[in-house]
Amino acid sequence: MRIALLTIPQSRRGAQVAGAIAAHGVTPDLVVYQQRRRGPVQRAADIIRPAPSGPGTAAHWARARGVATVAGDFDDPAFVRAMRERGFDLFIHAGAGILRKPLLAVPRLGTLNTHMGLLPRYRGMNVAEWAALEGEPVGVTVHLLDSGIDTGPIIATREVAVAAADVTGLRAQIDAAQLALLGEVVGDIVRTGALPRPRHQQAHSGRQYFRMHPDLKAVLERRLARAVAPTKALAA
Amino acid sequence: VISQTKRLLWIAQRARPLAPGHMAYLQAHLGGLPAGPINADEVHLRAAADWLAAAQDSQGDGGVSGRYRLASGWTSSYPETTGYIAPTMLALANRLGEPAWKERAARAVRFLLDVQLDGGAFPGGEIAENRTEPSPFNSAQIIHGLNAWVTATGDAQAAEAARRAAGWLVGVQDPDGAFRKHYYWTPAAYSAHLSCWLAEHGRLNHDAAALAAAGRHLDWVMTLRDTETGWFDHAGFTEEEHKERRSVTHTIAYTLWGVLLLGVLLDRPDAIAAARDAAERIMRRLHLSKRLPAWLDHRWKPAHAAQCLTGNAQMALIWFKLDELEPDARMVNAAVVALDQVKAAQDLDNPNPGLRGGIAGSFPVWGDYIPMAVPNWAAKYFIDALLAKEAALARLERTAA
Repeated sequence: MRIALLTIPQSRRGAQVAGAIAAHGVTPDLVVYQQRRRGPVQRAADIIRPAPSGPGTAAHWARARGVATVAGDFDDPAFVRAMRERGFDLFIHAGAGILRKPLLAVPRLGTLNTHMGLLPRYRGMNVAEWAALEGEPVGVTVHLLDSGIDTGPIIATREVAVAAADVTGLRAQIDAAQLALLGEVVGDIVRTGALPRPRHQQAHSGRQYFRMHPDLKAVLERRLARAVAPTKALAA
Repeated sequence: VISQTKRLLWIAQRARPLAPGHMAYLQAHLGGLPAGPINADEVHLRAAADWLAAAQDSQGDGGVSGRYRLASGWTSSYPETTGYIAPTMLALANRLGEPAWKERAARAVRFLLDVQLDGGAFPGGEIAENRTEPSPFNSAQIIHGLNAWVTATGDAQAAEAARRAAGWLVGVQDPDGAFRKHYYWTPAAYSAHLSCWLAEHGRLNHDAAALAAAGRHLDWVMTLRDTETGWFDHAGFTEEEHKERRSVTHTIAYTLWGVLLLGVLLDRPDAIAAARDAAERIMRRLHLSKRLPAWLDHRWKPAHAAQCLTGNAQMALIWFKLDELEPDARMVNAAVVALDQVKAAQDLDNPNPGLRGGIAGSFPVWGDYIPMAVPNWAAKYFIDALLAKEAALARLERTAA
């Protein structure tokens, strides 16, 4: 199975995702860097202050393991065509920004993404915080990307028992859970050669959440500190 | 270029940069978004309350000045807004523990009783412009204020004034439920903010005719709803806005608050659902645009670059109310975000009492909604929204506990 990891060179997320799937014996065939067209001023700025590529970054991870890399503008039709010709089965999104339909159509099985909430209920931003604030189950999702925001077919979900005493801890716990779930999902796909049966989302089956204001986050902080955020049983 | 130049000249003629505090005020409005300090709610609440007191004290009749104009200073008392500011004054008396606010409300009510017309209606516009022409919309806002005063004090004279005004309103309603007679400009959906106070009056005073009239009007307003987008047609002030299907957030919020309250008071789930649907779409617009654009079109897209600050505060009240009716922390979140924009636009240190603590019609102040002025209703809705925020966060805290 041919797998590509989509990221940017300085991304720590890219390195974390690569590490998570490597833990299940999977190494991407190619690391693909999103590289938007840059004007002369931006190119000069890149020379003066290059993006970090040291330990912990995707670029460092790929170099250290000898994984091939390629860079290009994901919105450039020629680049998309070149990617299609490479015949990939699966993309894994790891901090490469918004991906558009033509690129999403390239891999045979689709493009996997992780989400810090339980889809379809919690779409958008700060969803771990929103679920904890609302006293609803907190968890993570691995899903396929489509052109909507967190609306693609669901591959796997996992509820997480919150053990954190603050929002930073909550996010760290959820992040670890989503990386672990992604690693397992990719390991299974490589072993079986197929996707688990995806669960398609209905447009109106979830709610769109936005960035949580600090005043509400403060309520959540107090709640977590009091350790009164028992998760409810996940509805069937 | 010509229209831009004309616009700049118009602004320059009204700015009076040498008047106390004007230059600093104008400079603060040069950025794209309000950039003033966002302090604790208490600081902003106190500043807005002090501005409201200054607006009342600027007049000798007990009414509250309609606005501070950069061009000419305080304007005369505005009966309509003095009416709905009275409940805000009563709320401040409770919240701040200062009986002086109740005395202010008493002065405001005396002013209103003095200007009531023989037929029971109240005059539209500011008192220096008009003392004789009745206005249905403005009368309804005053009925709301009088009823709040009557509830707090049992004042029989004010109760009678409210009864007469409500009777007049029922009498001028058209058979199809709309209010067209005596209407300034053109009949509009935002008159839901008229009938909701008629319904409130009906509930408080067991007035079946008022309740029936409010129900007929709600039916009429609901015929203006676009079921695909949730937009209410004719939500704006002018024929041009109606034709272009756009409106300032001030009157969108009037419409939605009216529909929502009518839904609650008349037990109409369809109205509550319609208000919730529109409020959710506006919440999305707020987050996507990182501000609430002053004008929105029927697809809820921005139709103007500035912000209507009173619209922000009014929408915050709607989001808080929706959360109160059915807990939804996203609504509280949207309200708090929208209020931050108003807090950041409030000048807390200006030496001019007409500007310090007041809330401009638009940000920047030369935007199209109440340009170059600081209207009293913006401070009123801001105070109401800050008080509602306290209650909403307390609710959330209790839920979380």
